[in-house]
Parts: sequence; C-alpha cells; structure tokens
Amino acid sequence: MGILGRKRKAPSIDREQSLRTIPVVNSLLEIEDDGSDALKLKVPFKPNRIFRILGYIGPTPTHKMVTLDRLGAEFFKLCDGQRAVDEIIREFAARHKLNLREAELSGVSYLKSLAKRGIIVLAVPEKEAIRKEATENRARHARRKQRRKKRK
Amino acid sequence: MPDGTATQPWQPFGWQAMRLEVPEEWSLSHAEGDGKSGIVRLSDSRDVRLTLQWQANGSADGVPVALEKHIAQIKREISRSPSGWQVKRETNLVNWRDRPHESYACRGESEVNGIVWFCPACKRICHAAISTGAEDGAAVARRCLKGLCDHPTDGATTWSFYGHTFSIPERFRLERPTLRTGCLEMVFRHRESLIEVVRVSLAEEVLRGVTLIEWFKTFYGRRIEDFRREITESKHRGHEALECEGEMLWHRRASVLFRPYYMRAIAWRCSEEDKLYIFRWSAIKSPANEFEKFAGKVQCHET
Repeated sequence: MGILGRKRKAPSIDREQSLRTIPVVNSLLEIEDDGSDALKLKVPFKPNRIFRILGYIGPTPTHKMVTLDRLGAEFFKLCDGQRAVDEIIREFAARHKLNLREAELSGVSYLKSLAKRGIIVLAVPEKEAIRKEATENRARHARRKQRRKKRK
Repeated sequence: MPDGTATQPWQPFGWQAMRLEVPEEWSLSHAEGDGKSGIVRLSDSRDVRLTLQWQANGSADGVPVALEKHIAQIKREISRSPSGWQVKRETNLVNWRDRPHESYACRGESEVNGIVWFCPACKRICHAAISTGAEDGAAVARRCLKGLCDHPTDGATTWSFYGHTFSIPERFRLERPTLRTGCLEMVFRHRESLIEVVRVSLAEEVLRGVTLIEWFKTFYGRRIEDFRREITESKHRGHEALECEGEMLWHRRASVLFRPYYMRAIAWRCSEEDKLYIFRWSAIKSPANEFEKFAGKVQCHET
C-alpha cells in the first residue's frame, strides 16, 4: 500500500521479459507423487479474515490440495528453478510436437494460473540497465556520505 | 547464398490466397478481414516481423498513391519517435516484371523493408512490410518475397499457418476461423456447401482411453446428429482413419429447402506429428471427386 492507502501499481514487464522469467516452485509446497500420471500438491493456505475469525471457534485448514493432470504435472516438473519460461515452453513443444506459438499461449496462461494459486513464483531477472543504475545510485550515496563526514 | 537466410529453417505461410515463405520462428499473431481486404501479422518471440495487407478493386495507378499514403503515415510515426529514422524509396527490393510495384526501406533502431504492389490477376493492391532486427534485413525480405504468390492457382487456395497446410477450392470463402491452442478449425462456405478443416494437437492425450470413432462422435456430436450417417474404419496415408458419410434427415432439411443434403468426412490420426485431422464437406450434391482431391491436400507429416 502506498500513501493514503492507495494501492501501488505493480511494475509491468513486456512480453520478452515475461518469457525470460524463471518459475520457481514454492519451497513450502508438499508434492505427493503416487506413481500415477497425476500429481497432488499440498499448497500452504494463507487464511483470510473470515478464516482467522473461524480459527477462534475451531481448527481451520492450513493447506489446500491441488491435483495436476498428466500434462500439467509434466509442465510443472519442467519448472526446476533453472530454466526460463521460454526454455520450458520450447522443451514442452518439442516433446509434444506442438507449434511454438500454440505452446507459448497455453504455457504462459498455465504458469499464470499456477502462480495465482501460490504453487510457483515467477522470478523476473533484473535488467542490466536497472542493475547498473542501482550500482551508480549506491556509489553516489556513498560519495555523499563521505562528503558529509568530511564537513563534520 | 552469402547471407544468413540459407542457414535458418523456413516454412510456408498462406492466408487469403497470399502465399510466401517465412522464417520458421515467425508465426501468425493477428488476422483480420476477408479476401477483399484484410491484414495479417506474423511475429516471433520479440516483435512483429511481417505485416501483409491487401485491398481489392485496385489498379496499377493505385500503387504510388498507396505508397505515398503509407510513407506519410510512417513519417508521422517517426516524428513522435526519439531515435532518428530514415525513409528511403526505390530500394529495388525485388524485380517483378508481371506486377507494378514500389519498394521502400526505413532504417533506425531496426530495419523495415516494404513493398506495395498491384496484382493484375486478382486486382488487389497489396502491401508487405518486413521488419528484422538482423543486419541482413533486405536479404530476409528478398527471400520472403521471392516466392510470393498473391492469388489462387489451379483453382485452389492454399492456407498455411502454425505448420498446418491445406488447400480448398478457389470458390470457397473463409466463414469462421477458430484458432485455439491445440485446436485449429477453419470453416469455408460457398452457397450451401461447407468445408471444415480441423487440426487437433496432442492426439495421444486426446485419444487416451477412447477410440478414434468414439472421439469423432463426441467432437462432432451436434454437427453430425442431423445426418443419417455411416462411420467406417479406414486408412489414410497409412494412418489410422475413419470415413463418415451421410444424408441429412428429411425433417432437418428446412435450411436447404428440403433438398437432399450430403455430408462426407474423413478423420485420421497422424502419429508422427501427434495430431488429429478432420476434413468435412457438406453439400447439396455428393462431392465425390473433389472431396478425394482436397482431403488429400491436407498435409500431415512430411513424408
């Protein structure tokens, strides 16, 4: 939240950048692989206000179960925290002989739905320019501090 | 070829009788309009790479006018852009003898090579703009335009997008394109006749636990329930296939003035490509010869 309770706008990223994001699996997630094609995920549940009130009365759920089908599970397993969205989509398209564009559209929307459920987090790689700017800012800040010290 | 166009893989692209070869990474991202006027855009993972525009009822005199209009629009856009763009006309991009044409190039952050031409066969004024981030932009544009064909040939229109290539008779017009992930469905119409070309991806997944016939009945359920039909197993190019033939039930014929209405379809599973294909033709007369010819033109695996 920003000043006066206004919600701050999330920084937007372009298509190219979004394809370079790296899906990282939630470390609190519990994966149940029973040998079948489907995959069961135990996702930590963040209770909202109603659940917190209900918590005074009795026990409330701490996890929610999400079941991924065969293809969903295959796509999820490709999210190893190393590969970018672009690489995952290319790998999936090659495995299933899909057109890259088709795979991209469905893959991106699937990853978005996983992120919405708290299963993965999409890590945006810092842009070179942003990094450079941050370094420069830090250096400028350090110089100012030194100048102030000298004056004192 | 000295440029890099020879090394990268290319694929055919065809839409509304426009046919050309494009780099494999470029795929359809936007389509609008019909055979008379319309626009398609092809893009790669970064940007729009090819814009094709066409307008019917043109003439050879319309080429300089159309180019002037387009360049004026470019200049308006350039004036807003902070980086210095330069527009150059008469770039001799191609040397077509059969089509009056004029080419241009815009150079700035990237390179855009364009051409406006008039096709005497289909009387359309067309415009193609090819944008490449690479240095050999003109070479890529030349290679794209080299085999460009802008009207139907041998009475057939070829469509090619997302690796899906097929031909239909020239007289049929696109009625409804449905381009969903994993399912491409194109419906064409000529008077009461209807052609449907369908491609479904992930065949292995789709046919898990069901036969091809069962899947076809579910997929086409409503559309074939008005027909007294017969479905038989067959082979198509060595693939597992089915053929469906039928006549519309008499009490359902109100839409075609109680005349007999026939339907013929073929569906097959291409294991090499992991895809399912359907070619369906509905008409007042049973489309015997043409059906065979055009069903055979739906390309699946390369061999």
